[in-house]
Amino acid sequence: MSDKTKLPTDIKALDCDRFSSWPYSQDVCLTCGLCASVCPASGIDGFDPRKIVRLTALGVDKEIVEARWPWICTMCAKCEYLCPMDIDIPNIMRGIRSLRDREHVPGILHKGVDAALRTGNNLGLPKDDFIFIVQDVAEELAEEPGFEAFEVPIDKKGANILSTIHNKLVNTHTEDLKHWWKIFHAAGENWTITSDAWEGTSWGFFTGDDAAMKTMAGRIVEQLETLEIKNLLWPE
Amino acid sequence: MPFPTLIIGSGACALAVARQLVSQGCSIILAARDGSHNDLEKRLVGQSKTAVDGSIEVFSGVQLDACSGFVGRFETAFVKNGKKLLRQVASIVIAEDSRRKDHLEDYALKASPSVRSLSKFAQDLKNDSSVFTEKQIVFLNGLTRESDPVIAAEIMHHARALQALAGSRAHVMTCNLKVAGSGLEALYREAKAAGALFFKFSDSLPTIRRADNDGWEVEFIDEVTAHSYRITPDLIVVDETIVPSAYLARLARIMGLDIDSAGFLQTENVHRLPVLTNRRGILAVGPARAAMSADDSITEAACGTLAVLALGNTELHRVIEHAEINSGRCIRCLTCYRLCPYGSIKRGQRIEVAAEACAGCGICFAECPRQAIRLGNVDAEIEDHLCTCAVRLREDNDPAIVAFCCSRSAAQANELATKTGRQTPANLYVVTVPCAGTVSTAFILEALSQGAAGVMVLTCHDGNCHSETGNQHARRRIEHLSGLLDLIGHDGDRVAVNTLAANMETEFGQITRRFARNLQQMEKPSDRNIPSQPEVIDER
Repeated sequence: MSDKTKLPTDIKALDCDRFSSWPYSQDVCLTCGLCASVCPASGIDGFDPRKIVRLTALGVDKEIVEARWPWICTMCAKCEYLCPMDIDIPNIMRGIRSLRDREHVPGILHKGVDAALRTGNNLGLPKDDFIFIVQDVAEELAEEPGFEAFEVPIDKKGANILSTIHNKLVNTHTEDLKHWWKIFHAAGENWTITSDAWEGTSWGFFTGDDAAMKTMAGRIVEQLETLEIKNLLWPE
Repeated sequence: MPFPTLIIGSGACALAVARQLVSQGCSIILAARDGSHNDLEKRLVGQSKTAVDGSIEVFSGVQLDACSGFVGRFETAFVKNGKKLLRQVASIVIAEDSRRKDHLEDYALKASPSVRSLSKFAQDLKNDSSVFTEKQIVFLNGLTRESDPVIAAEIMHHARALQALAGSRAHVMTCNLKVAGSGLEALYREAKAAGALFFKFSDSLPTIRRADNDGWEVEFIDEVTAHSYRITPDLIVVDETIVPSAYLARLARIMGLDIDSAGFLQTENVHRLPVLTNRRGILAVGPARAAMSADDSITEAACGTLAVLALGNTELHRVIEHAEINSGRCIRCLTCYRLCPYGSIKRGQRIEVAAEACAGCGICFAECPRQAIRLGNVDAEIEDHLCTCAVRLREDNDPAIVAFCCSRSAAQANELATKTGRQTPANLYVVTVPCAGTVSTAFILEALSQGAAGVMVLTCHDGNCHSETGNQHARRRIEHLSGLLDLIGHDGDRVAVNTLAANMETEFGQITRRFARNLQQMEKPSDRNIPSQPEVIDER
């Protein structure tokens, strides 16, 4: 990033107050480095959480919007947990990601958000396929001792809990569906999943796309209202 | 107290001590180098004189010329307009304001409308802040030497104030920014939230040079992002160091006060905190003892007041065995006068110890070439102790060790080691001494001649000795004696000096065990043919 042949940037050319309206962007960083020491992505492409904070404070938007490294962050939030000055680095990261033109959001995330907005889930999985998969897994579970009568409740009106599903659980990790289901069954819980808007993974969150997040959360709320369910379990 | 308290200084701290003492019914003399008499009196008593309990005397335009005597009765002399003013005072509070020294030279800069010292800028900002609207201002802080939190706080205050002016921007170029003081972190947050830009330098420094248009250019690399930036400031504000008033050096000389490396009237010795000096009855308060903010020095005035009041409270005094000089043996060599860290030796027809000022460290006792000084019963007790353990010292198979332990540190570490069950050498005899300075060469030789295989002197850490130099004297004596033992063919490592803090019980065990192991590896003194007289060394 540093280029010795490049002329120094005049501070006046920067819009240092550009991000001051972000509630979480105040640069009170002491550059202690706790964030950098705990960050799993530290060092990749010269990535350092302190740089994010610094560049945001200086209003250097071109670099933070165009660089690859804001997208290397896994949003694990360990940095925020450790920061002695309570700087909300993950939210700064979301703010930075939100600045990028949607067409240039890294492929899989962009496609996922796009698919979610169009179809209700990140995979673009058709409703019939979804129902087939969950029922298939439910039949498998019913073969296990103690779960003989198990059936997966779908769109059950008046259930106590509505549970969303992480898309990978109906894709590559179907076994993992059973853990929750076993608990519900053993507890005699009155629960349900939905055949529409079941997606629990909001990549609107990861890409800093508040509008997409709102749309996806709104659909889940709609389901709650239609099915008259008061409690939501949103495991992601 | 029969005599008043003398307060030296004319600043807020001096006046605060004066007012507090007067309100406690004490009589005071305020002696200021500057200011008018009327002004000082007015600031001191305010509008109504009725609230005044103690009596007040105010001198302005006076400097201390001489001071003799001890706590309870100092004889002071001031000079004013060629006339001497003599006053007897019970105690002295020095609260002389500090000065500022700017760092312009460090940065190879000269004062000009576009380059100002922090004090000058503060004055200008106070007079008319509007002249700084639409201005780009660079502050330099601690780039050439360690900055002080007081200076950093002022810079952050100014930076925050500048951000409130239209179109202004404060850029703070700083090395270590010290925010470990009251309210400093909050101030830092506020200044940043207001939009002041802070650039911190660890591995590089900004370059400051003249721009083509006769302005300034500051170029630097932001170390976090590795980007290089340029600022063309309208004004550069240069930091300062808080230095003691030049008057303090004079006061220190007249009163025999220890000073720190910067020249303030208190060494970095924990026993002096908050306001004590090496001389009992003379207190260094606020700006006279350290670099501190105006707020802190006013807060500290109360410590000064309490310390003065404590001098009059006999219940607070620890009874100590003080030194006494046998005038029949004394040859007036003044070794005691020269070495006493508390300035407690009286020079008159006879040389005497001022008991009220003596802290019983025993340095004079140990160093007196005529053995003319006794330390109450302390020295006799130490000798008794050595004689009592003599029989056991000789009989035990393990090497016998006598450890002289300072009562303020090593003796407490020993007590803690015993209570917590630390292992110490089987044949260790601890002799508690008031200060390591008490341990004369004669005591160490006595222990050896009574049968000790080795002698340790365990002192406070460097810079932590209540008597300031007691541990240094102990070290010097041991090193000297060790060389002499080597010279006569005795093992010099049989005597050793170590430093310990009161809470170092583990180290107490380790140090004494290691010493015992070393002794075991040496030949027993009795196994060797020690010449009855030192070999004659032909130095020709």
